[in-house]
Amino acid sequence: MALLEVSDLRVRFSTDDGLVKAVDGLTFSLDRGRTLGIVGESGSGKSVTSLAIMGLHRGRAGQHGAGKQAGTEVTGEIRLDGEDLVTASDERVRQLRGSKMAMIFQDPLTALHPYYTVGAQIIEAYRVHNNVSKQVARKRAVDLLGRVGIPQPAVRVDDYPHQFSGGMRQRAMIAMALSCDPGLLIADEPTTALDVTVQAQILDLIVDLQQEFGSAVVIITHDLGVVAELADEVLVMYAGRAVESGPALNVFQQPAHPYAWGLLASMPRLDVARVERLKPIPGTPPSLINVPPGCPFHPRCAYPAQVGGDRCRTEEPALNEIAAGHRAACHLTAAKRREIWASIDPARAPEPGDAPDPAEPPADLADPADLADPADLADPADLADLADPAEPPAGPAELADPAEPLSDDGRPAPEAGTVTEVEAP
Amino acid sequence: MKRRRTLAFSAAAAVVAALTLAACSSSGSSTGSGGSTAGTGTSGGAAAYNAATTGVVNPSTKKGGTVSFALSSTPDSFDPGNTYLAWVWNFSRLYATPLTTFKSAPGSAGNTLVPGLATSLGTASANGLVWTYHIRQGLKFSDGEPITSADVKYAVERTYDRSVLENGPNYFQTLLADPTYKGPYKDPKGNLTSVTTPDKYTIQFHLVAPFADFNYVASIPQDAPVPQDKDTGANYQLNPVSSGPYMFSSYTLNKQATLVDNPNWTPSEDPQAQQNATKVTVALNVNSDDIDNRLLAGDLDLEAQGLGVGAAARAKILSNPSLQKNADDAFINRLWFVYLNTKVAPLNNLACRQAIEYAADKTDMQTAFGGPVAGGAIGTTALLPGQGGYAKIDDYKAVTEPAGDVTDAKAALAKCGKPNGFTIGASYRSDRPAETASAQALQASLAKVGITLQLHGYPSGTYYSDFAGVPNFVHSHNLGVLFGGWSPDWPDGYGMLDELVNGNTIVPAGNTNISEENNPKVNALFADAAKTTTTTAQASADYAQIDQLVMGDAVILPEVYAKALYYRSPNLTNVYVEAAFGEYNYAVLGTNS
Amino acid sequence: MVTFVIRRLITAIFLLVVVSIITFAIFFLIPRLAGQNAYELATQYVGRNPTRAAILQMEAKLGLNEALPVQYWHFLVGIVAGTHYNDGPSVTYCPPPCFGYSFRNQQPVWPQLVAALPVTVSLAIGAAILWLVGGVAIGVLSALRRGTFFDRFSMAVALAGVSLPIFFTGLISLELFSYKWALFPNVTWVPITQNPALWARNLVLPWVTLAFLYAALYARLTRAGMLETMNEDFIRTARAKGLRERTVVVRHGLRAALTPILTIFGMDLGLLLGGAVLTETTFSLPGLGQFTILAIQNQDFPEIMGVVLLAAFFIVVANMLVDILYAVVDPRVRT
Repeated sequence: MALLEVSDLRVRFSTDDGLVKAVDGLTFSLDRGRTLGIVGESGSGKSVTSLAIMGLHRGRAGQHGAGKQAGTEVTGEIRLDGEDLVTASDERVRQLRGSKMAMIFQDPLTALHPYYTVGAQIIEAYRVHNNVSKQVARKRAVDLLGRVGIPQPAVRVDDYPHQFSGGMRQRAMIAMALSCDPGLLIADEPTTALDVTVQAQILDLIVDLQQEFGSAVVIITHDLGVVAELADEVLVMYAGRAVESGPALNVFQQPAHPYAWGLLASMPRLDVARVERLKPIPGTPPSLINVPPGCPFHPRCAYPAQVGGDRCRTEEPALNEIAAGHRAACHLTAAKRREIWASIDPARAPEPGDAPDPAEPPADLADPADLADPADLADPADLADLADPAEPPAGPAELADPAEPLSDDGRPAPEAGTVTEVEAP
Repeated sequence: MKRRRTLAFSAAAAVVAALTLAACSSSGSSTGSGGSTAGTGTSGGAAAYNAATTGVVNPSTKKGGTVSFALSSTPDSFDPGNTYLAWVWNFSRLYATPLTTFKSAPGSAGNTLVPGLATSLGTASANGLVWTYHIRQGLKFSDGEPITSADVKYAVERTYDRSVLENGPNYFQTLLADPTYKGPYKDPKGNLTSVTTPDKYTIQFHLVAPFADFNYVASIPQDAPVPQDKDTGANYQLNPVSSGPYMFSSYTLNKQATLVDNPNWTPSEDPQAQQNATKVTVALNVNSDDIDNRLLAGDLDLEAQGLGVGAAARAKILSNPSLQKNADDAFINRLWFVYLNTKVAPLNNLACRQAIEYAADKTDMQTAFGGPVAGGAIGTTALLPGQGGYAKIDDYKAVTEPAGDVTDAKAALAKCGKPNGFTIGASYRSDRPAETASAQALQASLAKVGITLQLHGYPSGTYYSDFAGVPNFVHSHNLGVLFGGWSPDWPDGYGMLDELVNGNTIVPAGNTNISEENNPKVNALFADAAKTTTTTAQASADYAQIDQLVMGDAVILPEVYAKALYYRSPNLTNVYVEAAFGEYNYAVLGTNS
Repeated sequence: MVTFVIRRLITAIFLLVVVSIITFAIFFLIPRLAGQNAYELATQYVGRNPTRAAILQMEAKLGLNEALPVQYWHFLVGIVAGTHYNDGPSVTYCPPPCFGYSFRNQQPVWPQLVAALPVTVSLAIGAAILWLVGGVAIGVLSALRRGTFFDRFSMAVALAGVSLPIFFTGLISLELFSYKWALFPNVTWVPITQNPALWARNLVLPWVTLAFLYAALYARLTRAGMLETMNEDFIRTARAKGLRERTVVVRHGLRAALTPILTIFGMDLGLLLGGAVLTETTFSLPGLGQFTILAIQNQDFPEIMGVVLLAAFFIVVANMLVDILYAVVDPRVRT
């Protein structure tokens, strides 16, 4: 049995403008020790999913008309270790929060309480689920801080969040999340607010801790590079639904959904000379109140014509298995899919006539200013910009190994034998 | 010199409260039954509206209980030698007995001078320059020490140091023949040579000029005896040694004073005072609305300053018979009036002044002061009713045509050569709402005959020292009509009129003869009345004539004989209005509770 | 932290000196500028119908003939070192701080201020506890139950409380609870040392009246602060840790929302200690507020100076304490 099993999760908010279907039929599962990367634009429902799992959507004090489930409706099943969280009582979910499932958030400066020391907050997290003395909890806090790589943890445990640097803060938050040994760790954009070098360290840390604690990790991000770094499996969400899921390698090498194509195609590459402009996905994400009928992606998709008839507009595609463990929700046939992907795969060998212009300098990827703008997701071109320039873009052949030394000119040479060839079906 | 009554300035709060509380007027607290109450008192004296202005309410000799006073500010000083407030002069008789005092009786008998500490009223020498008093023998202070004439002399001496005791009147300094004496603090070795004590029970005052009213001067608490060895100067007010029926047991500044029976007092010490209660409390700085409400609720016996109740309580009292029978609408020894200056043209012409007298709307001015109950009765004379020589003259039809006599006014205008009226400046105290309203009322009524008043308001603190009381200022600013008021230091013609219309009292600053009346006949009458050989009856006749002449000269336009609505707790015994103070007689009160 | 406190102290003293100079100038400089000479000035402070000699004596006593800075210097020396005063038969020493002697009753001003202080302190602190606890509690509950009937009702009542003047609510409460239904008859000041039960009973109406006004303010402030704070990220983190909702609201939410409230509380209390004029006048409580009114009505300069400086002292100290408190409460300020 998987640690986390989500079945047909639907999360709806009633607002003055109408019913917002933030998550509309999501199904996935995650085993212990595995990492799932949930990718999508803002508004795709990835954060809402994590909040629903944690039960943080439940009737919160201070909401307008507060009472239970203030206007939020969650249906479906979320099974954590076999227990359904959707039907569980508030108290039961509260007990599980922090102890069996933990979450770390995007901005550690605002996510930690400014008035309490880091140590006190970790101790609090520990003592709410473990009946121990303050001294024992404090020792645990110091241990955890050391474990996450904070130097002089016995001293730093009494410091306030504002006295830590960004990366250290995130480490501290990770320490806090892991204090009770949760089986499931959800990381919501954990590195978006950090600068690049620190990002790498944090991601390393998460990988290490996962191996040590054996927990399942859900990493939510819009950054394909991060997913490529960490995830065993990938789930691509669009308009509250999963449009593609599967092993990370497969999804990156052989994406099966036009949205995924768009994401990958729009990423700038260092290993291929750029001859044309970056290709964004046209259009904007749909309204979650008035989701387009049929396939939610169809208004922006370039290929409904290839499906034939009106199917894309009228019939919602199911998440079908197209290869082992690899699912996609699209009406295109497998053959069509391969054909189209071959033509647009950015990692294909250059065609004659595609002579690079030597005068043209390579695309300027190394602009750190662009990295720091996670909010601007409407333009998929930026997704590519956010990739770590120190890290080569994910090639079609394999994910680049960050430990691999860069070649002299800054671009790793593509491995021999990894030319993208679309095999004939 | 005028004795001051503290004036109540009702805050806006009181107005708001009045509007609200008048709307929710209570059904009235239960009051005691009228008529004679328990005790060995005589029958009669039932509580009724205005009963205390003519007779004694609840006469009783019952002893015991606490009489509670409250006031909305503080006394200028409880030191009998350092006070100029009417109510403190009244209240000080509980612990300080002057040589002479006023008869403790209701009605106009309360204006009569009678002996206090002295055995009889003082007698003047043949030349009128030496007044002799004999002090009752065997009397004691509250500390047991005997009271002698030296103590009376010392009491007068200490008032000479105005840097320490600055509040009281300065009659002694001006009348006695030793004005350069600096007082015992600055001149411990010297003494006041114009006061002599031939023996332990005789005291003589040597005047610089004859003064017929010296017995009135002797009634001022400044000559109540003070033992020199117990005098603490500016601190004496905290615990004065008592020569009256009560003595101070505690005094917390700004908060509360408590008096208890003086064990060393006997009724012979001052036949006009009584020792009925065992305790007297005075609560200071109590909100005036609070005072009114507590009075009506029965939690308080008396308001101390003689201000009367406020508008809200007045409404409640007058509309509720069970409350009204505990109220008295008493004359408070004050005249509100207007000076008509004789030097500022065209008022230098008698007929023009008379035009103003005729045209003024007396009813409007009475309303400005609060109407017949709270304001007073329409005045027609410079003397107050009850004062020796008062007669009901009404030269300008103020009673018969209170709204103003336009016909006669116009005739007078024609006679003075201004048939279409004239313009003249008028001054008043702008921080006094009633006075301001009365100025506006006069302005409106005079406009009907073409007389235009240009109103100028001045602050009351410096009204006499800087503005209306400075003849040069009055002339240069064309102020012919000047508002004022007067409360005599003692209730006879001299106290009332001398500083108002005696030509010899005009001074360049601090002037109170603001009309600058200088009628030789009037001056001669004053001189006659001042002779010590003049009897009281003759003096009264003199003052009556002065009043007639002054009204004929149209130098005073009387507005109202002021009144206030007092409320007495039904528990109080021996309550009546003492005419000399215009307040309840504090020296005789007792209680039934 | 120590330098922080020392700096604040020095600023505080400087402020007090400035306040005293301004008050002094109002009384003695402005009349000069308006053309009054020393003699005329002295006339205002002397009794009525004074003789010329009396005025000259007062002029000498007040030192009005001296240059203004010299006068001010005497005054300052008095505060710091005390002065000697001639009260008639003897010369007494007025120990520091000596604000001189009241013109009204020739008694030293400082003991009168000290006597009035317990009244104001009792009134202010009692009301402060009431309004802090009540206002914050209602504010928190309203924020947690936003939009419900409780929220709307309590905010409407709060609006009334903030709008109604104290002399109105005070008089209404007296009319109802003191005169009409004698629940609190004779609301007068009774020292706590004399009769604690009566002291408290007589202060109930003034406490409630004063607290009603401030509680309303604090309820609205707390509600707004809580609403804002409960939307912060660290609240979400706290819930994500599995904390009980009550812990989240109080330890995490309220703790953060209270900081601005505490600042305002310090200022309000400081101002109130200088004299709750309206409340004291309405209920006839002989505190600093009533003393101030009396002093002003009588143009009694030593009393006015004393009460102004005392009030300024409280405000300055409160300001300083609030600054320090803020640094204690919010660690981000300490650096």
